Amino acid sequence: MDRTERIIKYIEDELTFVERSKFEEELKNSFELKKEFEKYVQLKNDTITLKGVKLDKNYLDSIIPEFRKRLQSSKSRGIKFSLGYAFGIMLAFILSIAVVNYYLSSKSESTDLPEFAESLSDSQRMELLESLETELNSTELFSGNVSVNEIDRLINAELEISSEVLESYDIAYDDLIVGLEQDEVNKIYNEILSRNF
Amino acid sequence: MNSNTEDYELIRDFLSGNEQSFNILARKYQEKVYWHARRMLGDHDDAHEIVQQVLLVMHSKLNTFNFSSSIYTWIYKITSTRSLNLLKKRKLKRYFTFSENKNFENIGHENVIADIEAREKFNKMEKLLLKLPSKQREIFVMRNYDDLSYDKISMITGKSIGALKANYFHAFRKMKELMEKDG
Repeated sequence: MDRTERIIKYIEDELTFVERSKFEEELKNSFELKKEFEKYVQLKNDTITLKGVKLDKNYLDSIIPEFRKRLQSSKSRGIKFSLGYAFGIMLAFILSIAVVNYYLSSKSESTDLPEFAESLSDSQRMELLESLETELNSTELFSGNVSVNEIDRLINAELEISSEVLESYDIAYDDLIVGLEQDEVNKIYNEILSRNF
Repeated sequence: MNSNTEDYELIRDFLSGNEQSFNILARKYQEKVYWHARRMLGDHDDAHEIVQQVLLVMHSKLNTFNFSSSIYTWIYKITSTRSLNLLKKRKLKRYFTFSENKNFENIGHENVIADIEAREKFNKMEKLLLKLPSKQREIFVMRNYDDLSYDKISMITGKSIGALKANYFHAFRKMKELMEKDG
């Protein structure tokens, strides 16, 4: 144990009885040790003196009222936060429903031949087929690997046209696409190909 | 009726809805909280802020107090943690803003210390304390100003008694050296 450690332990009353007696003996005989010891004692006494320092009464009396004000404002902040949070959740929910609705409705606008065919009544189908008998312009869009007859056969299958109707009307792809916009024609053609190839 | 029993009754009363009991409890410990924070932070405004924060924590968390220790130990732990956190925050702020060390003259706040004679001694000691590393400062303050045993300090800080004694030894020696330099 070095000198400083013994001094501090002596001041803090952490030495054993034997160590304490030995230290006190050394203190009597060593001027250096005594000088050093007194510096530590001075420091200890200064801290003890300052332990009793009191705060101004006016300041002390102001602490609780300020605390109560802060408590009140933190409560109202809490309510505002909760309301804001609830509003945000609601807004996010409404927006997500709107997005999902938009997505679903735009999807349903895509061309779906079987659905289209099913949506027609028998009289509408007959009307459609009759109109296709007239001489109209056609657009050639055939893939090099798919024959005209094949496309026609697929059209008939997609539209679920019965054999009786087929006998009466010669349904061809060219006829069906007459009168449609180019974009619509492309859609139908690609739809047929993707379904079947 | 000892102090602990009185405190427990005040706590139970507050938890039943009596805000006045909380005020009594707060008034009992506010000065101790202030002094611990002041000695750790060396600044009146920061110490005042810590007092307010500790009261708010007490008010919201007293329902979690389990009556196994004294309320003072519980409050002290909150004060110590908050003070150390504020010290770390200040250190980071100084680092990122490249600002000089704050001048802890506390001009304008000297009148919070009632006794004029004590003010000068206090300010001198405060300057020396601020030169200690925060962990050494903490143990020095706890042992010399708050009269806490090593067992209690170990409970509050979570450190071993051996480590605390070593820290205290270094703190005491450093304070003496600083006092010599200061004249």
